[in-house]
Amino acid sequence: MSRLLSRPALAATVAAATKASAQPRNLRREAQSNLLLVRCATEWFALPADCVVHVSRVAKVHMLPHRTKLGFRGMTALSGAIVPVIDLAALLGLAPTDPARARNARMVTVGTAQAPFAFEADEVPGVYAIARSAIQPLPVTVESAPGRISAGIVTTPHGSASLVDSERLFAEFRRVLE
Amino acid sequence: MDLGGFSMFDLFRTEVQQHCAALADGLVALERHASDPKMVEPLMRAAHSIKGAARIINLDGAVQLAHAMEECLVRIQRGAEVPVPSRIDDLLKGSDLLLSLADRASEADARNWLEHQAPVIAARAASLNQPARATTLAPTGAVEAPLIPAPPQGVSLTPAQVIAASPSPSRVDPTGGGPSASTSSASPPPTGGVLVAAASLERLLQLSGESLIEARRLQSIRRTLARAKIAQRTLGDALDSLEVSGRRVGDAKQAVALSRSALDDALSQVEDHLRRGEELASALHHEAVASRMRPFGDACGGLPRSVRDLARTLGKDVRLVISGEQVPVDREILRQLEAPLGHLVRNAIDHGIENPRDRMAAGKTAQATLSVEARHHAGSLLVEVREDGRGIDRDNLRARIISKGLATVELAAAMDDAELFDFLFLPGFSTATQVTDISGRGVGLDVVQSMAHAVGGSVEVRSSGRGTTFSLRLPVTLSVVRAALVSIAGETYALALARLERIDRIARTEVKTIEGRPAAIIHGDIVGLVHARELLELKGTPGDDQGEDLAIVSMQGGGRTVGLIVDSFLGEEDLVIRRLDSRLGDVPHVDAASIRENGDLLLILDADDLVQSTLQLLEQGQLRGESGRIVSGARKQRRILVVEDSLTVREVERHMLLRAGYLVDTAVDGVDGWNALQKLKYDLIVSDVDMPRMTGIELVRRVRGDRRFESIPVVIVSYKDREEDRRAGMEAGASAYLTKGSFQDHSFLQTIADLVG
Repeated sequence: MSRLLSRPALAATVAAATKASAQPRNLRREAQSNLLLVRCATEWFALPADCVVHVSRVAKVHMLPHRTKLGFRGMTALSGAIVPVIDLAALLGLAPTDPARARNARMVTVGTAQAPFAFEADEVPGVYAIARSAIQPLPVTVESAPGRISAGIVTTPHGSASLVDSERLFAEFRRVLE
Repeated sequence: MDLGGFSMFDLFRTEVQQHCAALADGLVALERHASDPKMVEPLMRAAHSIKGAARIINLDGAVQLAHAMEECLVRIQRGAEVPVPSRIDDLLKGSDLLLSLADRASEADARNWLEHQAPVIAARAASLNQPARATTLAPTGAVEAPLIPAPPQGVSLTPAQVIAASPSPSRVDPTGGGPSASTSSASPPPTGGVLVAAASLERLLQLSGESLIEARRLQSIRRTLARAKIAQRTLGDALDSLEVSGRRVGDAKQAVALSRSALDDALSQVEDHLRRGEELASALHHEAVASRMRPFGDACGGLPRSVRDLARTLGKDVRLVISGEQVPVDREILRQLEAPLGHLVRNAIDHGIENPRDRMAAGKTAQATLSVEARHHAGSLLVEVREDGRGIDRDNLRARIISKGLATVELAAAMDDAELFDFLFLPGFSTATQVTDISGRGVGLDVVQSMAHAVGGSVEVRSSGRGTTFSLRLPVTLSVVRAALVSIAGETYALALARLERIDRIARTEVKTIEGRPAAIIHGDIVGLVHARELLELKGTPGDDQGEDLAIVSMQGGGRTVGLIVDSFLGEEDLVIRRLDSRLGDVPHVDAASIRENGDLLLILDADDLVQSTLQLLEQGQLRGESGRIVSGARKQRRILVVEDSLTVREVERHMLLRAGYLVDTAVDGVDGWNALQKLKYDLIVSDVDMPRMTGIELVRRVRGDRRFESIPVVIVSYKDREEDRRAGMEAGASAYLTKGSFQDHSFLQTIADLVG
């Protein structure tokens, strides 16, 4: 049986890991951030690990009457808690999920145990440690866009990902719930 | 020091409240039964404990007051003083002051309050410190300034009977009234309870529910093992039937036998584990739900005191009998019950019970009996407040109804008891000609009724010349509700059974229109119909409403009935009520949520709200949309079975087909799909290839091999797009073979449309 976050390794991942292992150790330990990498539609996002409550298998989402705001999917039950589910792709205006590639989909719960939000990610490869110095600034077109959720760009074994600013993310999510 | 999230002042408050309740009950009992020094001990302990608690957080005024109370009680115990009513008043007022102090929001508030009240507190302490007054020296315990025409002392009941007449109070009576309790010098705290934060209790309930769901997941492992066992037996049989012999065959047979016993072991262990896990988890869940319950006695804490004070004020002699103190009641109901209960008791003493002289004249005992009783009856909590007073004067009541213009003389004369008594619960309707300070303070019996209705209960009155009884019928718990489960727009919703009139299935042809709006005659009543989907704004998801019959839930609200059209009924279930996320604010029509045994969420609808907004929307002319469709019974919809083991793909297919206007059922593998085919008639089957238990290819073969199903088109949708895979599917008898990429380019829906016509 496959573990919750396990999936076939990409050749690129293996190559990157090999290369990284072969590098001489950097003796000066760099400040790092632990980031949970998730794919939503065609884009990758890196969430600060401390704002992630848990990752679980996809659960059925129940629509909520009269609540049809863009980005709100409904409610679901996760670990005995009743959690609102946000459609992150719709919220960000990303192209809808390709169902054929949705086999690795997971429910990601973020926020706090008292005030959780869940969203469905199409792929969740796991947590990566990224050096803080490697965070690149956002392109100016994103930087000045209203309702952005990113704080920068990081490079991961899956390509570049938007580093999510959890406060901005929750503010957007809260707006959807209202 | 870990206080579990409570501040020192919180703990002080709780302690004072607990001890003051004990003081109030005990002092009232003491007044009745002055000569027993043993009864004073628990009261001294209570005052002493309050003193200690106040000292810990340095509330000096409170320390002094509690000290004065304790000293006074010590004198009473020694016999140096007699607990005359005025002395009991002193002590009760002292305890009231301490309670008001404890009611402050914070420690700082409390200090402020103490400063302001310093003179009052000092005066109270001084009066308590003043030793026995001249009038209190009478050794017989004769009453000073008797407001009550003193009943003969011999008739008086023992405190134990007065406070708790329940046959076996397992709770240690905080008054120490029972002889057994007062002999023990170190009696345990009243309820043996601990403080737990409500949020933590709520979380416990969540987790226990989840553990039940998890325990049941072992079922699927058990099923897998059972399948392995069957396969293994087949293998063994095949091996046995081989007509060859030799060492290797012997080895193989031996290996098969070994693995068979290992499988048997594993299966029985899993079954055992499953059973125990399920029992344990359900016991845990049950206990967590039960932890919301408190004994009914908790709501009666203030009653002896208020009965005593009120009877004294009104010059009446009342014996209070509380029974069923141990009956468990949901703590939320208990909290809401406190005010109505107090009101009913005040009402009984003020209006129901006569003064001793009138009672004697009517041939009754001078002392009236007021009983407050709780018990479980037929799945409900029954709370009765009963007195043996004069009964409700029906003529007086009729006169008031007429004078208030609520009914005509003829109508009032024709009303039976139930109809008459209903007026008592009207806001602002009071039978007392004079508005008294006691029961006519603007809050009337309507408070009692609205509380009962708010929690889904009812009130009933019975009355004769020998007394009046108010019965409250309430749900035992607010955390579990018996509900009807219905499907609306393909999702599960629940409606509390208590709020429903009836559930019917009627033929579409029985629906008529009245001024263009659908209505049906259900059991002789004409009921206006409204689509649940329209009301809840769940549009864009055509549901299963095009069949021959309509599923209708009749709900009543404000005396009017509305029939809600739902897709189908799914049955009845006991649901643990869970609050919806508070961040969502008010969600119209949705009362709460619940998590079912399979882990799925469902929403509990608010029947009252549904009825009310239906009427509102009708007035505004906003509910017309689907009325025409209900009656015409649009063209027959095609029903499609989706067989797919991946949840995601299954849901994608289901939604695409629903949106295209088909009726859709789903199955999780070939076997499940095959079973579904036996139950309903399908116009088309969509199937995956790779599935556990029975593959899509095997399913197609079976369908084609069965005369009943051979004409149903089957569309295979697979990730496998090699030519040999496609050929295998078509050879088995599939009507079309698509890859999952076809979802993107409409070929999926086009193919299906072509096949079903």
